[in-house]
Amino acid sequence: MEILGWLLFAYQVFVLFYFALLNFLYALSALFGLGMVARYARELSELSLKDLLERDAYLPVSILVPTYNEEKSIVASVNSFLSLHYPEFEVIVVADGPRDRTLEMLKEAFRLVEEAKVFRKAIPTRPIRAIYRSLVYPNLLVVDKENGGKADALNAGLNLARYPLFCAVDADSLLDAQALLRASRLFLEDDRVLAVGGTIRPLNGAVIQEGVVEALRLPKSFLERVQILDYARAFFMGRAGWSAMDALLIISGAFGLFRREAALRAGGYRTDTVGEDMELVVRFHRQAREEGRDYRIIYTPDPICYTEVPSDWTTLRRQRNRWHRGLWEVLWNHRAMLFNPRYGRLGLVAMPYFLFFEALGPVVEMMGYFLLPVFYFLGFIHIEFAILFFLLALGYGVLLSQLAVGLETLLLQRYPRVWDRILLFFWLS
Amino acid sequence: MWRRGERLYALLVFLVVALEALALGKLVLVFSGRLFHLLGYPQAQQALLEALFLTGVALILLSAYIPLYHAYTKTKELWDRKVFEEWVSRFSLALFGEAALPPPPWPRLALEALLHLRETLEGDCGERIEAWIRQANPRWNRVLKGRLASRPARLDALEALAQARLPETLGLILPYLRHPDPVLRLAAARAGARVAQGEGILQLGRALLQAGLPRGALLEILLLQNQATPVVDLFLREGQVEERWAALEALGRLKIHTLAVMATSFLEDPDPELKAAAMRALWRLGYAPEGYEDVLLVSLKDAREFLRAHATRLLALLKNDFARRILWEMLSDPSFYVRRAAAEALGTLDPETLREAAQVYPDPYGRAMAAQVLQEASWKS
Repeated sequence: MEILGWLLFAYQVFVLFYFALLNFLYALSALFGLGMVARYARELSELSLKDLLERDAYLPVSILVPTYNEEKSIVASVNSFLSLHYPEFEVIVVADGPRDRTLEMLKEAFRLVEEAKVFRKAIPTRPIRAIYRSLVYPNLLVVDKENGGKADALNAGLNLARYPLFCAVDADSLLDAQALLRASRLFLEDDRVLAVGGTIRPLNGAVIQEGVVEALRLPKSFLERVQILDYARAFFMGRAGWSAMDALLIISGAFGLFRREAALRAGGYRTDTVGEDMELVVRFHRQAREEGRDYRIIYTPDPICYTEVPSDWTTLRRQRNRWHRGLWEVLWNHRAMLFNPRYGRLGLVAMPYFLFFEALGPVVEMMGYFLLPVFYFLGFIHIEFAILFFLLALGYGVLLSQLAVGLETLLLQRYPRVWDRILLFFWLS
Repeated sequence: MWRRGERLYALLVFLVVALEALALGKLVLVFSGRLFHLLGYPQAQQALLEALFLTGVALILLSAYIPLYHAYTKTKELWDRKVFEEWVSRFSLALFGEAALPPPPWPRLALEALLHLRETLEGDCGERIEAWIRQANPRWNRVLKGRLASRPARLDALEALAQARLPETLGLILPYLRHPDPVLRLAAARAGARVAQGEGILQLGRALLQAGLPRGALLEILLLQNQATPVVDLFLREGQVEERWAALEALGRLKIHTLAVMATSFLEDPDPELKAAAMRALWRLGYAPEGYEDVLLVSLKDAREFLRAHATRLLALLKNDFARRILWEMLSDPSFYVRRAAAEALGTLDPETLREAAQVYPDPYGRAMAAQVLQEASWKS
């Protein structure tokens, strides 16, 4: 009984410090994030963007679109990529052995013809069955390959890419018309930049015409609306904060811009993990630090990518499960970086944060749900105190959501309807 | 994008985060004391209540400020837009002689309307608007020379100068090229590129040599200039590696044929990046590197594939048997990119030889590459 009492006491100490530290880090991240987003918004010059376009000061980009069974949305997505405002880019769609009519839809819509293309297989991939070129769009290439997963499809695209920058996007995503221009200028202005991540926003509820987002509206279901908050918190507070601290470990697989040479040098995407997007970024950091290179990996708030978020619990659970597994795999593969001062704040702050608060967070939470009735039956719980503590945790959560939404609607006003903004702010957060 | 009133929001967020940090800190101390039986339950409960109270206050502050802010800015933005459009219309009517020019002083939105028109209109109309902007006598001078102006205010002023394109304002811009803040330095360089005319172009060039901007940014500035030749010349003569690289890139992209000879002198530069940039520039200009065959041969044997690829492409401009023979040999280079460059170069120099390579070239990779380039040429045609 004494040991049990001691264990429960230790658990209370642990939960207290966990709660305090986590919320402190969130608050810090909100502060850094706000500073970063505000600075970015102030420094961005629409005039210079216009000049960049007019004077051909840009770096050409290869857009890599891995796709599996996406017969319903693939044509609209590819059309949206082809209609981007960017002077020089190519779209490489990699059909990763789809079992539905994805490839046939592409062939019909874009008048594809097979081409015997010679290319450099810099990264090994599953065999390529055919390469198609469009008779309508000279900058569209479609690759049909044996199924090997998203990372393998991206590697195949990387082998075929011609341009110095590549942009990895999900097939069900839409890019803001100026997204490439806004992200790619950072590579031009600073040679040290290896990768740039943009903001992802839920597409659900948006008004779309010919593959272009005309207006943002809040979706109908609660689950989709909650994910708007989730994304706002993740990007405007999380990634903006980490980027401001020079310790960004994730660039979303839905939209990220990379130097092709750096990705090739790193060996491309790893195919043995489901978190290939985060893994590549962590590997970039690790290699650059080990080689003593000066480099930058940054998040920039304005290049926007819209993506369809799950509208049912099953898909959401599957998606989050995949993300979580990916996180654990990355942490395991790069465990040498953990608490290692050689990797600076990455090893001492960012990686431990991801281990304790992102990877272990659900474990701590589940343990809480399990232990609460145990505490109750053993008489170790003070109901009044527990309720107050719960209210405090809830209050902090709402506050952080409100900070993120405030940042989103104040600085980067994207939901034009006042009612949508009020709903986001009061009801959802 | 960036809306006025954000400072108050930033202050509010700072206040909220500070309050929360205080509350959390106190909570940790009190709870620790309680867990180790140093403090009693009432103290712990009081700390919890205080933290809850502070969170509540923070929530109320945010909940009140943001909707009010939305209501205020929405109305104000609509009003500003209306006034702006009215001023655009009044200036447009005055410009085409259909109404008299409204007498100055003009409000801020009128100046924004003028800058908008300056950006849109060229020729005589542009010159008249330029004169009106001078007449408006904006306070850029005070902002840029003052010590108290914030960074956003300085950025706004530099952007306004870039839009106004008044040559006499270059003097206000140049000191900013030595500013310790790199963001302001870049903004000043962009503004300078739009403003500089006549003697100002070289003044800007000299200031850029001291600005310490990265090479990509320097290239962007050179591409922005309407008369970049004197600055490119200056960079090639007096610049360091960064400026020279940017100048070589700009030379090719802007097709400055008069400086092609200067680019050839970099074909033997010890820095491989500069050597490659020179080869790229000459290739873009279509300038045959006659007399530099030996130098190209050295690059063709270099271990770095990017140098071999650039040298291969440039070789085609020689248009002689020597080039044809070397390009044929380069088709068997171990690098994919060099073989590709050789096939493309051969395609422009002698399509018949490329066809022959596609049929009988001994190296299968070289043969496949020749066939590929031939096929792509047929697609394009």
